[in-house]
Amino acid sequence: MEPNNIDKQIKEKLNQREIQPSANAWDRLDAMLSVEEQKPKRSYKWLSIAAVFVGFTLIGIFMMNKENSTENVILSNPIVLENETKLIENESTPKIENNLSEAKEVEAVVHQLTKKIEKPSTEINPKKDFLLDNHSKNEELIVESQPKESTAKYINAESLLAEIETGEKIEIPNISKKPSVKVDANALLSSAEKEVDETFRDKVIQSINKKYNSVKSTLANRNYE
Amino acid sequence: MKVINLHQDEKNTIRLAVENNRHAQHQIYTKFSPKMLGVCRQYIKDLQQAEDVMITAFMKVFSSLKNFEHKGSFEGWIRRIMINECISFIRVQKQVKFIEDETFFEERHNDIESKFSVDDIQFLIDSLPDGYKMIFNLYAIEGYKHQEIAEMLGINEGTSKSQLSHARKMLQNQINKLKNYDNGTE
Repeated sequence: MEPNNIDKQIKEKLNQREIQPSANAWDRLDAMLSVEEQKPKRSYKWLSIAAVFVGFTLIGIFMMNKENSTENVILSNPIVLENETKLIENESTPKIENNLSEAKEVEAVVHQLTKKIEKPSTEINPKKDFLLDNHSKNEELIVESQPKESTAKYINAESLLAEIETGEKIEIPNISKKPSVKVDANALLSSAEKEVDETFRDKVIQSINKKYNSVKSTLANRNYE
Repeated sequence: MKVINLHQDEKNTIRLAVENNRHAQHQIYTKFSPKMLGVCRQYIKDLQQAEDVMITAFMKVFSSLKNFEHKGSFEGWIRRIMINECISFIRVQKQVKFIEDETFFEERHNDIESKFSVDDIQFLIDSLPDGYKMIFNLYAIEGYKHQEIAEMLGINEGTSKSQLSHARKMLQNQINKLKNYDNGTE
């Protein structure tokens, strides 16, 4: 028992000892406690509420984005397709028309050629029959008449070409303008719908916010009351 | 009946203190703070620092009061928190390093004469280095086993034993000095 004797004595004496803490010690502890009280309660409550709220809003935003994106995709695809088809149409029709004009040109050339061929034939004839003035006159008339016809044809071809060209020029903008207007209308409609939806959502969110805040304030006040 | 009433009272005050009832917290504080400041003073020589540590320990007491299972004494529970706070304070503030020395001596025992006051004893303990002081306090006064002390301080069990024997030896020398001083004056 001897080894514990010193310990025992020291222990007894020390355990009996009491040191009165300074007067302001409790005040310090009180202040610390009140600070600690306010901190965790508020922070935890507010943090949890804020976290839940942020989570919900994020989910909502994601959902809305998804909906919007799908709508956009659905809306944008046909627009693109329409444009493309129209472009293809625009591209294809002029080509065909160009081809047609080329064909017409070819035809005109062919006509010219045939007329040229006809000319020498008529010219050869007068060489063979010098005496035949009537023939020559007729031929001259024919020659005269033929160039007129040919020039008329030329003019006609050119005018046709010009018409086709101008028609193309006129047609292209017409075609391009019409779909653009249509696209704009769709886009406007969709955007307007979106705006309407967004405003409605905002209103809902705002109302939820207000209710949440009122609930929060009542809860917070309850503790103090 | 009195004991039961007291026990019931303590339970009630604890329950109220858990709910952050400041009056109940103050009751607990006024009941235990003088003793707990004494405990802190055992480990920390500076009274102001000891009080600071006691206050932070009381903060921990109140914050973890909801975890207090009514097994064992409430005082003992608070005391453990105080001691842990003191140890962590000393370790952080003073960065005590324990010499990994596993030699310990057979203890020669000398009764402390009963004329030694608590202040004398405190003076003796204060004269010990922080490492020795902690282990001596934990072993001799709190009654922890070497294994527990080793775990608390993160040292070997052997180190705890050797440190205790060093502390005892030093303490003995101090006691002898005091005795001689006393004898000299007489």
